[in-house]
Parts: sequence; C-alpha cells; structure tokens
Amino acid sequence: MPRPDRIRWVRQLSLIVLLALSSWVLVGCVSLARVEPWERGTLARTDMTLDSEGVDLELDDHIYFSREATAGGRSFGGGGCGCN
Amino acid sequence: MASPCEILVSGTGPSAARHAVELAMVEAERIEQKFSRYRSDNIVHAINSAEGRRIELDPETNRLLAFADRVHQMSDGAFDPTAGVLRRIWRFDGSDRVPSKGDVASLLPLVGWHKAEWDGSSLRLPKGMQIDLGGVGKEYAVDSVAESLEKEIGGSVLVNFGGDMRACRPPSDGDQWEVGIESPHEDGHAVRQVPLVSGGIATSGDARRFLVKDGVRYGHILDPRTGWPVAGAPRSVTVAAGTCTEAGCLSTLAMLEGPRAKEFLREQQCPFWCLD
Amino acid sequence: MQLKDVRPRGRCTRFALATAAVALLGNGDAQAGDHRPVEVETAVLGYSEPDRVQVLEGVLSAKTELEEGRHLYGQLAFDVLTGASANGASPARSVQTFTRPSGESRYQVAPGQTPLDDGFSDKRLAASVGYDMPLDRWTNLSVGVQGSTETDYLSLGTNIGISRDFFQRNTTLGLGISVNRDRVSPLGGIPVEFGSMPRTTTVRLDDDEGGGENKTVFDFNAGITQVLGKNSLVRINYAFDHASGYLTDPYNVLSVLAPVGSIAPGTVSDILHESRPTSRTQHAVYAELKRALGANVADLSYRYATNDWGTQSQTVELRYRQFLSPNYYLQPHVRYYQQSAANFYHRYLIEGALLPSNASADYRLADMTTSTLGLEFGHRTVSGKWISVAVEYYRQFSISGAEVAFGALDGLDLYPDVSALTARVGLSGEW
Repeated sequence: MPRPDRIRWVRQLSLIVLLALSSWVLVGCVSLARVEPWERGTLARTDMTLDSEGVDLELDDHIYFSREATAGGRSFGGGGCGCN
Repeated sequence: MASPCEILVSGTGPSAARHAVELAMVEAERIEQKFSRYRSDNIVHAINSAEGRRIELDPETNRLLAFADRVHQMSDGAFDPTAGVLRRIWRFDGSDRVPSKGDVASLLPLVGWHKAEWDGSSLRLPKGMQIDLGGVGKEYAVDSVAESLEKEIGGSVLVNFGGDMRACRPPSDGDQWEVGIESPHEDGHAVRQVPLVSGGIATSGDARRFLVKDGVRYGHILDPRTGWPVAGAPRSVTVAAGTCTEAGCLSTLAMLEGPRAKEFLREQQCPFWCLD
Repeated sequence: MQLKDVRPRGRCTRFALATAAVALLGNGDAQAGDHRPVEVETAVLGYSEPDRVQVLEGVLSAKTELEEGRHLYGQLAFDVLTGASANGASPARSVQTFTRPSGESRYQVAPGQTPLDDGFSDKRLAASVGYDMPLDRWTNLSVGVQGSTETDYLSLGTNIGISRDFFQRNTTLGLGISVNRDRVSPLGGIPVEFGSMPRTTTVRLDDDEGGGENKTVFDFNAGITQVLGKNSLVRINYAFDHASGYLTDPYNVLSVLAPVGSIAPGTVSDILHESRPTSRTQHAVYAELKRALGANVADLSYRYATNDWGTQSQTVELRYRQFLSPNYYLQPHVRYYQQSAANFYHRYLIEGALLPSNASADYRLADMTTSTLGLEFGHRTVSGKWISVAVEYYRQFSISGAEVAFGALDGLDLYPDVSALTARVGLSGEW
C-alpha cells in the first residue's frame, strides 16, 4: 500500500477502536444517581481518585508539552520550563 | 460498665496494686455516673430532657463532644453521638424482630449530629433528639483510668474493661503484655494471643448482640445515616492503636464499612484482627 | 497550578483520629506521637528519540496532613537533556554548516539529512510548595508557589485555587488561577528575529552573557467533578491560557531557498532566526471519565484546544487498569493526538518573497498527529505501597506543511516522522 493510504487506514482503524472502547466505558455511566456517603466505598479507592498517579501523569504531560503545540487542560497550568 | 473489668499491675507490691484498683474504680464510676444515659442526675440527662433549650457544658463534656464532632466529620457521618434514639426500635436479642422500614424512617429525622447546635461550650439539641456517648464512653473511660493510674502508680498498668484495654507502658517484668482475643463463637476461649507493648485495643463485634431474619445476620452496629446495620461486616473486629479511644473508633468505623472492613483497616495501617 | 482533588476526604486518616483522641484525653499538646504520616510519590522517566534527544527526568512529591484538615505539599523535579534536536532548517543536497547558539563553534550536517543541532545539553531543577486548608466543611482553599531553573531559562510562579462540594460531595466545583513569570536567557544572547545566522565563528569582542527576555503566562481554570454512580465519575474542565512576551525559540532557524526559476532552485541562500508573535491565547476544554469495573478501572479523556496562533488540537486518551491478582495489575495506555499547524508555520522561506511578520519551521507547530502506546505493570507491596514500571512508544507522524520539496530538495523528506521510547519507574505510598 502506498504510504499515505496506509497512514489513513491505520488512522481510521485506531479511531474506530478508540470509539468502540469509549462507548463501552460510557455505557455504564449514563445514570446520574445520587450516591450517599456510605455508598462511596469504590469511589474512595486510590485508583478511582482523579489525580492518583499524579506524578506519572505530570511526567507524561511534560513530554507532550515539549513535543506538541498545545498543552494543559487537565489540571496543569503555568509555565516552568524552556522546552517548548 | 456491664462487663468484667480488671486492672493488671506489674512491678509494685500488693498495697500499691490495691491502691491502683481503688483509684481505677473511683475514676471509672465517676465517668459512668457522669455520662450514663440511664441516670437522671447527670449532664447527659440534662441535655436529653432540655426540650430544645441550650445547656452549658463543663470542659470534660465539651472535650468529648469536640472529639465526637471531629470523628463525625472525618467519617462523613458514620460516627454520630445522636444515634442513640434508634435503640428504641432495634433490640438485638438474637430474635428475628427486625423493625420495618417505616419505623426506621420515622426515627431518622431525630438522628444527625449536624442538626445539633454546639458552639464549643454549650449544646442545644432539637426537640426529640438525644445524646448518647456510649459509642466512645467505655473506651474513653479506659484511657482516662489508664492515664491517671500512670501518673499515680509506680509500676506498669494494663486496664481492661471487657475487652477494651489500654497500657501506657510495657510490664515491668517483660517486654509486652500478652492479650487474648476471644472468638465470637465460643466465650472464654482465646483464639489469638496478641502481644501489646503499649497502646490501646478495642473490639467491635456482635458475638452476643445480633438479630437473624430470613437467613441474614444483622450485627448490632447501626449506620446512623440509614438507621440500619451494615450487611456483610465481619463478626468481630479488634484494632490496636495508640489509645483505646482511637482503637474503638477505628473498629466501629471498620464494621460500618461492611465487606470493605479489612481494606479500610489496611488503609489505616493499624494492626487488626477480624473474625468472620 | 494544581486544580487537584483537594477536598477533605471522608476517609479517616489515622493521624487525624489519633490527634483527636489525644486532644480528648488532654495529654500534652495535640500532636499524636512522633510519627506524622507523609504521602510520597516519586518517579523517574527516561525518554529517548533514537539519534535525537535523550532525556532523564525525576520527580519527588510529598504531602502531609497538618491539624484540622490542612495539608502541606512539596515537589522537587529535575531533568537532564542531551542529544540532538531539529533546528528547523531544511535538508540540502550538499553539506551544511551551522553555528552553535553560543556562537563559539560550528557543526556540520551531511547531505540529505534533516539538520539537527547535536550540542544540546541542559539540566533543569524545579521545586514547588503548596498548602491547602478547609474554609468550612465544604470549601477548600489552596495556594502554592513554584520555581524552575535551567542554564538558559528561569521561571517563577504562584497559584491559588478554591473548590467547593455540593450535594453530599456528589458535585465539586473548582476555580484556579496561576501566574508565571519566566526569563529566557539563551546561550549567545537573544538573536535578532529574522536575523541571519552567522556563517563564520565570530570572535567575541563584548561580554554578551546577560542577554535575555521575559515572558508572562497567566492561566485560569474552572472545573466540575460529578459523581455519576457508585462506580463512576466525570470531570470537565475549561482552561484559559495567555502567554505574552518573548515566545520565540531562540535556537530555531528557517532556511531561505532560491525560488523556482532561479539558477539553482531549492538551494539554500540564507539561514534566518525564527520569529513568533509576542502573545498567545489558548482555550481548552477537557473531559475525563473514570469508571470502576469490579476491581479494574477505566479512564477515558478527551481534550479540545484552540489558540490564536491558528492551532486546533484534539486528544483522546484511554487507560485501563486490569488486575491480574489483588496486588498486581497491568495497565495498557493509548493516546491519540492531532493538531493543525500554526498560521505562521513555514517549512522554509523563499528568497525574494516578502518576509511574513512571523515565521517558524519548528515541526512541533506543523500539522501533526501523534500516538502513544504504552503498558504499565504495577504491584502493591505488603505494606501498602505501590511500585509501577511502564514502557511507552510515542510517535509523531503525518507531519506536513504547505511547503513541498522542489528543485534541489526533490526526493528529500522535509517532514520525517519522529519516534521515541520511554521507560518509567514509580513508587508511591505512605511513610
């Protein structure tokens, strides 16, 4: 396959896979139930909190910040280095 | 106290040991008389019969309420000194008389420490609400007795009120106290021997107080937010911590976590023993 | 600035409970014992673009609880960078010579190769301190300062944030602001924008060390976190970023090529330093979903960003943590990113054409797609600490611009893909 076609094929396939995985995750999240404090057992787990693995995420974000044109949004703000 | 109480003294002669026991009895009775819900001449009665009036409190009562308030906040309401009213409909006598949902729902509006108005020196309870310090009273008594004996007696003391215990120091004649944890199945037979250097141990368990209905066993610790006991909790949880009060809170909160009790205790990084 | 999940946890921490118990018993001051637990998180990462940049980074982060639900946190980070980095010039059919940024030496690039400046070597050290406290039962305030220093870059900043819980902590709203003031002091001083890169080594007559320019970055962040059910929650953030001052990369250049129709089309007639605008405003919207499936956790996020340099980007990221046993997990990670070029991105300039007001050939500003594929392996130790090891493959591809290879450049790849491999080791827990 010539290169541009192959790239497009890979891109389309990756998008389809990502969309399929996303829908599967989203399907269980449709209801907006009120969760009482005594039902928060699962949510209290460290790996369910939003910034667990915070240091790992920061290291990743730093790489993307220095390799891509747009950065931030998660909870990352401010400058701090000359790598962009 | 309604359970066997003993004082173990090490490193002193018999007269000092007798003196220790007398001091312990005086202090334990003082606390019991002051905070018992069965008496009509103490501060708890005054608060519970105030019919919505504000009552001034002494420093010790305020310290207890400060503690209860802090743990209430930290546990998102799982620990609540106003949950005593639920006793009216829950009697854990081994039978199958579980209250109806309607009964529980009608009492729930009277439960909730956040509804009480406590400003650090005085307390006003809405009409119908009651204060019950039983959840922390015994462990507080254990710690209070242990710490006052520590100051007064030359040797080392282990205070044991029915399984809630505290030692400020290791025994004079050894490295640790040997403590036995009783199984909820057979009274009097220690299932596990635990070495205690210093600190407190407390147990929450439904060995003798429970209900069984439709094959579901209900332990006697009620979740004040729902008015119901938590299903799936271990039969008994024993926790070791720096003080008996702390251990008592941790064991009660662990029971309220139900099936997640062990994980909760692991997160708190305290020694614990669960019996299912 | 951190718009972290700083609200007080419903979980008891033993330290807080112990402190409360000691206060009750009235013994000594309200410090329980001599051990205050500290949460520590640390990681080291190695990043390598074969034949290009190699980076080693390390972070150490610690958080401790003070009385009354307050927290103190601190972080130290370092990174070491070596290797070669694209300088923006176009490849050519003959050997090219470039002057290093310091002006004191030159380097050569073989025919047909993408010009890389291989003299890059830098060390960076960064530190930050933060403090948060509850204003009342439902509201939390956090403040922090941060600073970082490199050979040619200094950054100082401060941040403040506030968060409030509603509906029994089912909903959390957060707002944050951060301001950073940076100073760029490149080796060799700040180059004149569109100035010619010197072709010969210059003998320094004056002490040109102190040349530098400032840059100010302002960030505003607003977010909502919503519990969707016992097993899932979602976070949506809006981020506003405004940078002003010296935003140009002092080490990047553009090739000026002889036009079609000239004697030697496509050959290099000059090398000019790049020039970027003095301000950039960016808006981004970010949404993240976290869902527990039994013991496993799925984390899916999407971000859309746009800025006034003409770039729009989309990012989709998925992590799935699968537990193999209660204490071991595997976590695959997939990320897909796409950006459109900045409006002043040019692969090269044409001799004789009117100079645009801004131009840069930095490939990181071009139309580009990146993808990341990673796998992390984690283990919880007996004492409750987590160790993780991760390997990731990162690829920047489909890099393209309006300019094509012509004349002498025919057959040369102006937009090569860049690949990188990263390895990361992390440790976190309570001490």
